Amino acid sequence: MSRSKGILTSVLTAAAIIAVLIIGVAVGSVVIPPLQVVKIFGHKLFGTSISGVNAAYVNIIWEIRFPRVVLGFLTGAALSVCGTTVQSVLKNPLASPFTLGVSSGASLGAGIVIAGELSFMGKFTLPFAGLVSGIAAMFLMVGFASKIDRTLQGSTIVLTGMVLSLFINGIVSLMANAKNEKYKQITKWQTGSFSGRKWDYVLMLAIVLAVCFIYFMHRSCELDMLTFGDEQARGIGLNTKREKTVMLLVTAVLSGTAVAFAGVIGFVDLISPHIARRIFGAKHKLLLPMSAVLGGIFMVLCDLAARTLISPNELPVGVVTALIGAPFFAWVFFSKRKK
Amino acid sequence: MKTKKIIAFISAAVLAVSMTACSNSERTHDGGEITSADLSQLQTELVTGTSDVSDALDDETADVNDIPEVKLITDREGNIIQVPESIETIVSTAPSITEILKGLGMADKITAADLYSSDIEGIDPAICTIDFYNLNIEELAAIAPDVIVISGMSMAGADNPYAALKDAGINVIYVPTSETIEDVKLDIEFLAAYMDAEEKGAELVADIDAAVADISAKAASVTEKKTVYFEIGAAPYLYSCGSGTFIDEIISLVGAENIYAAESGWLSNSEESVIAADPDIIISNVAYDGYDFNEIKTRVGWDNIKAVKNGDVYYVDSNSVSRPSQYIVDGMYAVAKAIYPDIFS
Repeated sequence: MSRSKGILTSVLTAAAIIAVLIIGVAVGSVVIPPLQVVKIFGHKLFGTSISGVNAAYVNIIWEIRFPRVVLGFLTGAALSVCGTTVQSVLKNPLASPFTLGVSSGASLGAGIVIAGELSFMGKFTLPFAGLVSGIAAMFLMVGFASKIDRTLQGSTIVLTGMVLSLFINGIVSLMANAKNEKYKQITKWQTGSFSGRKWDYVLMLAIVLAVCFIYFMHRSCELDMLTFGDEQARGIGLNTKREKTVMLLVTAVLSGTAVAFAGVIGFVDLISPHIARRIFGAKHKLLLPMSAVLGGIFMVLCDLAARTLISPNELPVGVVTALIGAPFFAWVFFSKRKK
Repeated sequence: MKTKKIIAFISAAVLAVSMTACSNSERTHDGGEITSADLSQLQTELVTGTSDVSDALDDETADVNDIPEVKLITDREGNIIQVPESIETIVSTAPSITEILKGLGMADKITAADLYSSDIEGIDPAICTIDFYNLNIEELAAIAPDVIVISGMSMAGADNPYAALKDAGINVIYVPTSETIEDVKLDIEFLAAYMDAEEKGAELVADIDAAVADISAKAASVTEKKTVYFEIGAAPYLYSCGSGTFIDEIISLVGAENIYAAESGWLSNSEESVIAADPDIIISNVAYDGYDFNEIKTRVGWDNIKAVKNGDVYYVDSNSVSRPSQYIVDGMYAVAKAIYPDIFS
């Protein structure tokens, strides 16, 4: 890519991110005049006057919508980065944190915390349990799949993931049924939501995402090599086994954190890497940031739909992503088959 | 050998004919057939509680001596059902039904009830073992009560799982999950008629009417209608309700306004819609272990809501506003006192 084209891409991307954040914050179940939104941002960022602005609107924009939109963006970005890396590391277009069992693993942890009424880290007990069990599930799943098929290709990983997910979901359903009064809470978590998430969540996910993203960018050449296949990668002198394990660990931490904060949200991690690859090519130096941006934008728009379609009711965002994502998943699967 | 066979055949035939005759006479009540017009007349008489079937039949047919006493009533779905001669054992599958039965003086006849009935005073918690979300038909059949009262809650999403019980000879009656005070009164009247406790039933209904009249009269003195946000599910998964629910009906009854009155049924409301509505009062009935409703006062972004600023955040007992029984009266007064303490103290 030429220098000028690179600058153009960066400018367009930045503009798209800002535009989608503005739309996300400006639109909601409560209609707030755009001028008031501008005034509120001006006041919060530059200390300008907010005379004539409804105090309720200030809270809605700054404390409710803005953190929610940013968290949605970061979650979409984090899941998409994870999707990109696992697809490359496992050389499997159907791999994603979701299909690898991170989400169902995390819902098991969350289910145990909710049903068992556990609390050891205050309000972060739930995310922490989700994170730990999500990572554990992914390693269990990859370990199991590699016993069956050392190359971890084709349908093995998807099938294994499905089997493990169904099994874990069975356990979660069992817990939900045994604890009827917690049923709603558990199923809510299983369909994902950004509702009620505030700046503290945003900050934590931002830190984890930044660290993991920098690591992946730093190893983008190795990711490129892995996509060529193990033999070529070893030929160039890459310790593929160690590389793969570390990459998967980092992926599990990042996707586990994202899922832990928002609940189970499927398909973003699968879709955006594919679209990004189609538009921006397969080189990870560009692919990683671009799939992150696409995933973030997609998530903000899905959440926008989730909170406005039947307002003042809210839909679980995982439902919206699934409605769009499932047909896409089918399309990827069948178009690969035809070749 | 042959004669034996013939005799057996003839006696069987005679028996069969006599049985048909029997059941025929029962069905037609001695030839006087019940027409649909008769039934609808009966129905209206029965709903008003003025008559039972044998009385009605007395008027039309003189010769009723051989007819067993049959009491027919209309159930809450409009079906005409027969009341058993005597009821000694009852299974209740929902707390609201247990409460109504208790109100009718039937507490000692309840031999088994659902898990949630265990907190009802006067009901032995040890008999509250039925998990109506995962109903075990065999368990119910084994208890073999005279009557099983099914609640609308138990019917959620399934087609009638109780047919097997009817086949086993157990009387199964159905009471819907009522969402209005009027419907609760009908539920009570129906159960009272079925359990042969009409007097008690009338008392319970009269108590509800008296409370409604009292509250409406006091509510008439409200000059400034307060707006109310009623929270059923705490953050982050907020839950509230619009019109067509008890809670909404109670809020308007006491002279206040539900901020979601324009919506209908239960809703998973957004946080921002609460903040924008800026309610005068917030009432929570969330009561799971370890939850303190005072958390609402410290929610980020809620500090500008009038109710939070003025400290008007209250808790009311969840059962009294969610169980469709005579105890809604308690719920009505609890909500009324939370919203207008000066008027309803």
